[in-house]
Amino acid sequence: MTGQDAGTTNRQVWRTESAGHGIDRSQPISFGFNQFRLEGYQGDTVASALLANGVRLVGRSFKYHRPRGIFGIGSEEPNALLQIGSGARREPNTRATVQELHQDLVAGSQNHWPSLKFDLGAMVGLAGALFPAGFYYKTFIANPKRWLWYEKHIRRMAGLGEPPADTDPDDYAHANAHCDLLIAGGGPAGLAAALAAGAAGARVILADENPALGGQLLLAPQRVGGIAGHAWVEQAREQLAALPNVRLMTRTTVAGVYDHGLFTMVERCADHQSEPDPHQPRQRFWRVRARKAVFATGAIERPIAFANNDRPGVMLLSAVRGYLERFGVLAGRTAVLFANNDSVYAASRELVAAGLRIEAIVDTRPGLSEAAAAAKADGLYVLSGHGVTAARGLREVHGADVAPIDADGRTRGAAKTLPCDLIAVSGGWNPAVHLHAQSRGRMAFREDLAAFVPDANGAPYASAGAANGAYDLAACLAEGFAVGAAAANALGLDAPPPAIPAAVGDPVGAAPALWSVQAPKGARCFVDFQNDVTTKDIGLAHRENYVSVEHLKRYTTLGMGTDQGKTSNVAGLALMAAKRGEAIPAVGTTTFRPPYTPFTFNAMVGGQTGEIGHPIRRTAAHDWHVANGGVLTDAAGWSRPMYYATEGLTPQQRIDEEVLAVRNAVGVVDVSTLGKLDIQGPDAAKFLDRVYTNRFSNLKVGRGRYGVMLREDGRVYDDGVTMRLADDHFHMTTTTNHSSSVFQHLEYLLQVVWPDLRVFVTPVTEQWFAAAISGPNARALLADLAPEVDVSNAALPMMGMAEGRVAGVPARIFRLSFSGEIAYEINVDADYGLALWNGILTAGGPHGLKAYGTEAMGTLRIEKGHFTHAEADGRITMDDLGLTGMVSAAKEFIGRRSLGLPDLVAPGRKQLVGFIAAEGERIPVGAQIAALDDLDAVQDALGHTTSQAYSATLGRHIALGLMKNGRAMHGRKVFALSPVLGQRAAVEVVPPCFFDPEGGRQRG
Amino acid sequence: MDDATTARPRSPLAELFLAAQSAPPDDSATVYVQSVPFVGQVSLRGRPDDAAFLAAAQDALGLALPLTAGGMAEGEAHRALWLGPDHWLIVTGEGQGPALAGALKDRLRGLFAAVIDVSGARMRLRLGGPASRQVLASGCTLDLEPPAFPAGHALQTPVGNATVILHCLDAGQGEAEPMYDLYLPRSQALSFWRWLEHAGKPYGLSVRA
Repeated sequence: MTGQDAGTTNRQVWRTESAGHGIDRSQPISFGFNQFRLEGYQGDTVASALLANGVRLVGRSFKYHRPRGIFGIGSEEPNALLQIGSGARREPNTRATVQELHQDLVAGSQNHWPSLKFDLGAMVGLAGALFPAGFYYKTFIANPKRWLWYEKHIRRMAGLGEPPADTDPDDYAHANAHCDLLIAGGGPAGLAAALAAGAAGARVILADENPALGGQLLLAPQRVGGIAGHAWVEQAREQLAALPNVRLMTRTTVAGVYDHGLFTMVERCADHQSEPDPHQPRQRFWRVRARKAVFATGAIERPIAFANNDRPGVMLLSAVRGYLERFGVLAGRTAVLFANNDSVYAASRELVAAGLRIEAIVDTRPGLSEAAAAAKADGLYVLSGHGVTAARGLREVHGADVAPIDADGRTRGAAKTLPCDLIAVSGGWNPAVHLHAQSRGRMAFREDLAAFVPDANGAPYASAGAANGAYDLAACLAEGFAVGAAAANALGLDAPPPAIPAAVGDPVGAAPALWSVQAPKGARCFVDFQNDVTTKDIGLAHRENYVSVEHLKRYTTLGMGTDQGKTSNVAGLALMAAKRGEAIPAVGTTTFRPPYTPFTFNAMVGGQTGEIGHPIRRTAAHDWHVANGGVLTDAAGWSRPMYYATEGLTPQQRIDEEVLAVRNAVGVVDVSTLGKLDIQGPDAAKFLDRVYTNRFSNLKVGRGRYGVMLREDGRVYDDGVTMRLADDHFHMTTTTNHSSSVFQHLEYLLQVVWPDLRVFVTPVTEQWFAAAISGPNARALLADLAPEVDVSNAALPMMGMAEGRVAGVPARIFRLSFSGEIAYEINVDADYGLALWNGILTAGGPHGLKAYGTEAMGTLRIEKGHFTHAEADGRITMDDLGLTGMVSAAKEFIGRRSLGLPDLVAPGRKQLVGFIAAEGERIPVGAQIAALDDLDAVQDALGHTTSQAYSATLGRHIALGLMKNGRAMHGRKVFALSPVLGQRAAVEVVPPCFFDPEGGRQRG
Repeated sequence: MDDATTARPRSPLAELFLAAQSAPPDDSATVYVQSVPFVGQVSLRGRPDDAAFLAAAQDALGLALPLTAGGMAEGEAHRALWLGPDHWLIVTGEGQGPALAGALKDRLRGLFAAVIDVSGARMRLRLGGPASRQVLASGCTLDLEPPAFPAGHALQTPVGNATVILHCLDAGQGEAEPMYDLYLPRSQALSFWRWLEHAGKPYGLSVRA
């Protein structure tokens, strides 16, 4: 039975009576696969549970929609990709071989329509020869318009699982760790390395992708130290767990290797459960800094290609063995074993003992090895010098064609068909060199293994065991102990001499290179199962002159699936080498890149979303802003109120109210976000002279001055008011946007350019809460708030300062104005910011005080023609802004030497101007300035607007902008056009200051 | 309006700790944050090769300024955390920042130094409990385990979504539980708390008033 018929009650018909030390038969688990309800045991993977139920057909292939089954037993699996879970927790493309079974798990096959058993897409497979490598490029891309039509249909046909549409309900986490030694892989070599380094006192992290440590020791009956391999694993685990300096991590994949000892790992904390435990993450993304590392990642068995070798029932021999040993599952009833090495004979004994009927052992090697002779003596049918040429069957194997072959896989006689439902293949092993390769280690090709192994020469990290080409168990253990001890000794620790346990494992022996068996004409031999790449595709690529393996990979998509070609890459390049008549090492390998196995983006994000990932800076009065209707906006990372929403008023009406309060009474605005730098030292004034265009050394103590900084290229960089607190002490303000970059700029100048200057620049933005009160009533309000301070115009004139208590809080009061009204900026220790703010609001009532936000502040400054970064966009000079008067000719400063650059003095530069709209017209945002009132006309822009607002003060829409020869254009009638918005306005060019250009109000 | 009694300092996480005052203690938590008073903090700048400056600072503070990265010196009234080769944070008693800044300025007059009261710039948060180091490590790439980060070590480092000054009070060896002081930029305190809340969730995070 195949388990594919709806309604069948499945029992675990392929589960053996005994064997299976990895499962707990007392804990049955019910799970769903497509429309079936099946049962497995605690400890099963989805793959082992499906096989136990006799389910062979689990999915359809990517391109040809061919029926596919379970091929391997670990993370190398190319075929059995399932969707696990449902709804928002559905995870597509999950390998059934690594997904642990849990109660009520829901698994579904992918890429089939209308059903797994009957799939229309398989017609593509029947149309076989129509879809060779490069087919899409050749056929569709030539006509891009038609491609758009084809693409929709091809995309539906091809592809893997469907991503869930809903937000992931689970949480994810990050973690960092440091260790002396990171060991990737917890098989015999990894455990041995951990025992050696752990005993020496090294901080060790041992990570294994599987739920249990042990690696290959769990997948075949072997003996270590006189006990069963899996029992020794448990012993070693207990020994390591008792060491406080060793951290054992299972379900954790070392995914990436980076420079300077950085490794990334993904820990699957809850993928073996239906949902994470309360408050626990589903996955955790680790960054590990390790001083040393050992890659004990094992080896991956490789297939030998033959016709229809992708049929369900064709499996890796090691997987067939492993399902029996660990899960007590026989993957078939009658088998043909096909191998080029001696591991097949040890396997045959175990499988026969468990009740598998072995139709034949097909050994590619001529003659009989010792193990082969022994098997023959036991009565097994051994066909040496033979190969499987084809699998028979469609949705599952029901026979194997076997023929005599030569050393290159060419058939040398007629094939006969042997009945079987399982073909177990072993083509030798490829060390899992992925992490070694990621660490920029080189590869060496070992002819005896026909495999690439890590080249220890120049390699930053050690490899051990099967990952290093040492397949023999005793050698694995010896290498593991040796590299563990060597790592500890290299770190200056004293590794005790290891007691290496005696081991009895499989005699693997040499595996002569054989990658494919000659196929009957027209048959397909798959190399990459996941991407449906066949031996023919590789031949085609060669004929079309693809020489580099990197090009071969991209042309055929060999190794580009989610398995990254773990079972196919080496075979693909070996076949390419054969076509080219070159040795395999001459062809080289493709690049190995992180991650070793796929993982979710969410693991990488680690729950750092929303405000956690994008922190918000709040001022001390933030809660007040929110409680009083503040509509917040992001301003250079700070959260600031744009305006305070009021019932019954539109936002514009409310902004108008706020503006008029400042013009007619008094307003208060939170300006804590402005950058603040404390500048001290005997050379502080000299330093400021060099960074500002104007002079600060002649500024009186207790007075402030507005300054503009240029970049080295002469363009305007930043501006702000700097107060002189003492002879050698200044308080500089910067724009909110540039507060940290100005600090870096100044610090760079002091450290690198002028290390001789004795100046300290210290950022103090966080220290100060600042509220600006401005308006005709501001002085009266301040007098109420600060009775100890003389606020008269004589004592505290424009650009003057005072110290004293404001609303009971010790404060620095700076008299400066952004709004053009009498204004005071009150700075207090931020812990007292809310106290000050509340004090101002309470005292402000009788003076008509209103709080205002950034919109009103912006409107007020546009009315006054003050520039911001909207105008000084990095291309603008002081002259463009009309500020030539602020540029001192008598001193050097950053940017001065660039002011004479031809482009900066060329006629026709854009200059800062104002635009005022005709009555009732609204100036569009981001408008171009043009001579013709025509949105569709092709005409040169004369300039553009940079900031615009409705001025309640003037009752008109106004804007600032940059216009060619702008200062000569005052009085011109032009048009502000936005073809993007489809909006226009007639405007008049005016000087940038719209209101009180003489500045009498702010000095009053 | 100059009633000094109305002018009280307010922590950026005031609401959080107010709520904790009335909440029952969470015994299952393995990490906790604790409210600490408004400690006085003074930024001190001076050159480490300026013997006169070092001597005057030692005289005024009653401690020798630490001169190596991660260094911290503790005197009777103050502690000095190394922030950079020419930068220290002096931590003193609640509300003592302005007074200490004044005293230091007087003592350092005539020397090349800068003294600034920065008591409001950072808030101090104490993090403790058996899992406190793991919680910090989830967002900090420094090696926080002793001997790399022993008790008395202090560094400026990104933790989670903020750059904080991290001071290890107890490295948690033997029976002891690890304990840290974090000095957070005031404006980022709430965002940092949101990170901490997420990072602490798997371990059980409690707030102690």
